[in-house]
Amino acid sequence: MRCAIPYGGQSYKVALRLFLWIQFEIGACISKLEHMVKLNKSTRFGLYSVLELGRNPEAILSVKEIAEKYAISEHHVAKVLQQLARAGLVRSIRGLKGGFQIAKPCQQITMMDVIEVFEPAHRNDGCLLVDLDESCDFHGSCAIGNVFDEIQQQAVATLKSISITTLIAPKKLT
Amino acid sequence: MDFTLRKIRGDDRDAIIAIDAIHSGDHKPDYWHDRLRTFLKKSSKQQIILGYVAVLEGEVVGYILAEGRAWEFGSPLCGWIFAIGVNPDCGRKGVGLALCQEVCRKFKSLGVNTVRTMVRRDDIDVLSFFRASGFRAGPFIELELEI
Repeated sequence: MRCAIPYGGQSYKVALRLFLWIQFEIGACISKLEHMVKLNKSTRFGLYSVLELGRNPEAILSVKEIAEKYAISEHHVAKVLQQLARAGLVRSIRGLKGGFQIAKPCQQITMMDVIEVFEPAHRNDGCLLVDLDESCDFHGSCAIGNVFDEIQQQAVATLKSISITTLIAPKKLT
Repeated sequence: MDFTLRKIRGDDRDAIIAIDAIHSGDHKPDYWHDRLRTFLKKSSKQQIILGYVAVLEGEVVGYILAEGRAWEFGSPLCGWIFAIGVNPDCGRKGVGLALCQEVCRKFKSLGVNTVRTMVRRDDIDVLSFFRASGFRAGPFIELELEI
């Protein structure tokens, strides 16, 4: 398996191979890390939409209103809102004054809930070193993969703990 | 909910042990007897030791324990919330927030401008609580080693 570096390589040969492998792979790792940090456009529009609808839970907003506010593509926002509706995060309301409305209390919607709608799920327990459809026999024993797992776990915990309410209006302690 | 806050007292011990046991799943009276001793004795002028409980109808329904620590891990004086617990029957009713606010107010009045805490990564409820209260990732990364 191309991506895996098992622990325990002590000899010079193994060290050299590791060094060469790192030279070769580092570019791919960085590009995947960037991919992890940089969310796709639909995710961004999804977060904008939920945030906008969450600001006023009673309001029914049209695709146009959201798209104009953020100066983004109306067509893309329409698609994003449909996906959010299928995921049960927003509700689609038909009719002349129709549009979209938040479907749940905002403290029950986390950033992760929105991100999960648009970011493809990894088959390999979220390892950032392999492609989405790749599997890896060394999962859990790969030195480099473990570092990215650590980052991933931190990121997931953070995104799961921040609700839309927290984004809109965090409480003040002092 | 009509609860009040007051400083921790010796007779709050059992309630604190019980609330902690509900959350942690461990009944640990020895630890708490030892740990609370610091909060019950009169602290020196240099020490900042803060312990408060929330009381509803005469019963302790929440607690918070915090202290000021200077130069640990190279950090200038900052406040540490190292224990907070609310009886689940009184959850999501502002008890935890009120306890946190009280501690932060007190820290601020003593010239402490940063408050830290540590939460298990998988304890999403408590993480969410602190996040919603304005806490963010700090400048330290906690590391551990299994030996």
